[in-house]
Amino acid sequence: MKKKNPFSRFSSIQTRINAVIMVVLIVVLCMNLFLISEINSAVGRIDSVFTSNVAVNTLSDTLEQIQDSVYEYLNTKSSQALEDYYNLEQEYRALLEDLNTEIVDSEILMLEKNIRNMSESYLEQTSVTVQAKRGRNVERYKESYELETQLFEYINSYIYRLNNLLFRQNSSNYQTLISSMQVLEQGSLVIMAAAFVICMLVIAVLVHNMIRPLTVLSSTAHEVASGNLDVPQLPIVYEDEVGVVTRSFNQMLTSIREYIDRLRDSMETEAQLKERELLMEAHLKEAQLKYLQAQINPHFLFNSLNAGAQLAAMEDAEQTSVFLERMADFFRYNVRKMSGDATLCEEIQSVDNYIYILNVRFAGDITYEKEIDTDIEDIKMPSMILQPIVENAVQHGIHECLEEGRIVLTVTKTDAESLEITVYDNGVGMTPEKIRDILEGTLVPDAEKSSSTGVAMSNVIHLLELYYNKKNLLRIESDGPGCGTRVILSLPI
Amino acid sequence: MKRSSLIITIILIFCVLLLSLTWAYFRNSLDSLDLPDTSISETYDRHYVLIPDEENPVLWQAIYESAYEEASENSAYLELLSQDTGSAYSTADYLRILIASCVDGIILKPDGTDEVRELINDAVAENIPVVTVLEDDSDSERISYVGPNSYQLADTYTELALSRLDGADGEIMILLDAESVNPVQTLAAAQLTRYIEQQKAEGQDVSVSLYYLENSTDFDYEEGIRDLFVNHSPLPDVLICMEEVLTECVYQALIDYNEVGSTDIIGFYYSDQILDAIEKGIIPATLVVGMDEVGSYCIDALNEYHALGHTSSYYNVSLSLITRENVTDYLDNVQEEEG
Repeated sequence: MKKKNPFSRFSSIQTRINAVIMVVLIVVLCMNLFLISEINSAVGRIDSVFTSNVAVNTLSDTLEQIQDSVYEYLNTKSSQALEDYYNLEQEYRALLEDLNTEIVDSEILMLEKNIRNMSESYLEQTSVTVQAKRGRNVERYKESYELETQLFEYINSYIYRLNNLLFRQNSSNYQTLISSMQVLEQGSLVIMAAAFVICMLVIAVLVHNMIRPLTVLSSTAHEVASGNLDVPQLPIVYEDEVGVVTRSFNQMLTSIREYIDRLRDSMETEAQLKERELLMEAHLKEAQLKYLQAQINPHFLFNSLNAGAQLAAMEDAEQTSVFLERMADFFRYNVRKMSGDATLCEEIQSVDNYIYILNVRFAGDITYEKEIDTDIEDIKMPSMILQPIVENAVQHGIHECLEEGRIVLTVTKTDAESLEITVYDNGVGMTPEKIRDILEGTLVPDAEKSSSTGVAMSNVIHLLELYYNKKNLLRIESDGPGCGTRVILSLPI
Repeated sequence: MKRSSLIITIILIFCVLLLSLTWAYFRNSLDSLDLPDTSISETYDRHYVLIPDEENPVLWQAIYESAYEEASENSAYLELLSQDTGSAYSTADYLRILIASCVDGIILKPDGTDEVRELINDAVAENIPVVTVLEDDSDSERISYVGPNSYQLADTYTELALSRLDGADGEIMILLDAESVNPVQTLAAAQLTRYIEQQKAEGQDVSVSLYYLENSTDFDYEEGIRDLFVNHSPLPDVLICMEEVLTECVYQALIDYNEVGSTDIIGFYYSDQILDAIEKGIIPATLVVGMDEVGSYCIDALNEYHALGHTSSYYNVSLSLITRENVTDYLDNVQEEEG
């Protein structure tokens, strides 16, 4: 598995804080280790500076003790002195092992070599002296002791010289070490100060980088809380906890904006619908008003007509009774359905009643035909649509020639979602200009000539548009004057 | 790059540089310490020792330098014995020390005493070859002598002394070390006396005398010269000095006793002071032995002895003169060495 970089933009805040602290600690640790190692090295050197003098002094002391022990032995023949001599000789030989034996280009080392060789000669001579003493050879041990003492003095003078040289060299080394230690001390102080500054800067920068997105987020959230949703999308600098919160905040902001837009759209739609409804209501009211103006008291009229129908039935005037009954139905429907929906079946019934009344009025001159597809009873549509159209066909189409006049009502389901209703008359027909005027609602009706029930074509067109919220539902076709007129309604189901 | 990153980078670079410099300085300081265990540079096969004559330091330093160079080229280390031991040791003491130190060869100027002769014999018996320089002890077991021969010296001194007299009558005095029984000097003095008798002009009256100076303790030469200048009046026409230190003492006495011009000094070897005197015309000439030859012949003799078990018993070196004409060459050399 690939190891994650703690400083990458995908690390969590905790990881990055841990990494920063680790880096700072490691830097400080490395610096301390470096300084400790350098100081140890320097202290080791200082220790070793005068070690050589100490070693040479030990050598000199041991040599002195050997000489003393030999003298003591020669003087007293003491066993202790002899034992001391052998012990010291061992010790001295061990010390000699540390002295140089190589021939090298160094005054000190060459002195060591000479001291070592002289010391070996000296020890040989002391051995001869001691042996001579043990052998009671007085002359020989005295002579040997003299030679030995001479060598002892030579060695001592060489040791003295070696000590001097070493001390001179060591003093100079000591001075060098002390001055370099001072440089190290000053350098260390500067480096530590610089490391402190770097660590502070690194921490400040990293903390700033970590906190900045949070600060931006909080100020933006405050702005949103105070109502300003028009803020830019926040950038996601790091994929950490703050990054996750920032991304969620951005998504939340987008969702709120979309929701507000949708709400605004639906409110606008609702307002439009309400406006249309009000318009429709206004048109109906207007139609109703016109109708009421025309029919002073329809209820009184219905009741009167019903009373007339019952009276005619009692008098066995069946035709009169049916006439009155259908008239009463016709007006009742008009009054009752002046507002609200009706079914297609009711509308057709109203047309039937109207034609019947006219035929009674005009002695059955109008030929009325219906061609209706099945399953149309429950189809909803606005009321007072078909009857005004048929009335217009009678009034303006076949009025002049009622005997030959013919009205054909056709209801056809064109497909599953639409219905076509056609009212055809074989009357006077219309010019294209008149058709356009009617459709545009610019034709001024002739009030005196009109004896209609009061609902004009323009009202029908408006009602249809308001009800279905669509235009061009009604069209008028005519091949010209004398060629009849066809009014076609295309209604959605 | 962001401003903060730039600042951090600059500080980091500065720190790294500072750390490197401090570390380098510190390491350099530690490494420059001349501790005994770290100063071994080169090892040699043999260890020779030169016992100098402390009275003629310039001469012996020149011999040492040439011999050291020659020794180094032949894998031998030449040690110059120093008096810095806190004790004033004689040549005999040094010989004992060196025998006890088991060195591989000794170069010295013998003082002609029996003690030194015996010690030379002891050293050779211990398989430590001894080479004598400038003075010989032919009775000892020394393996070789390196230096001018007495005849050569006497001949050169005779020629110089007679040229200073320029045919006139006069007195020539040869200054000698009373303690020394050095055959070269003694022989040279005897030879010089004979040569002058032989080579002086017909009818020329030239007397040659030997003046022995005590040298049993320090500073005896200077006292002896003082006695000469105080008690020997008038001074001889020509004073022949057979040692560097004697030449300097006589020259200083000439100035101190205001005798410049009253006698001609023929010196031996040179120092700053002697060259200065030659340049000023106070000392007419000084005799110079080829010290480069002396040094290299000594080492050659020791090396040959170690290689073959024997060597030539006599290495002759050339002699030359320093006069006012060629003194500038030597002055330049001295200045270069000092510079």
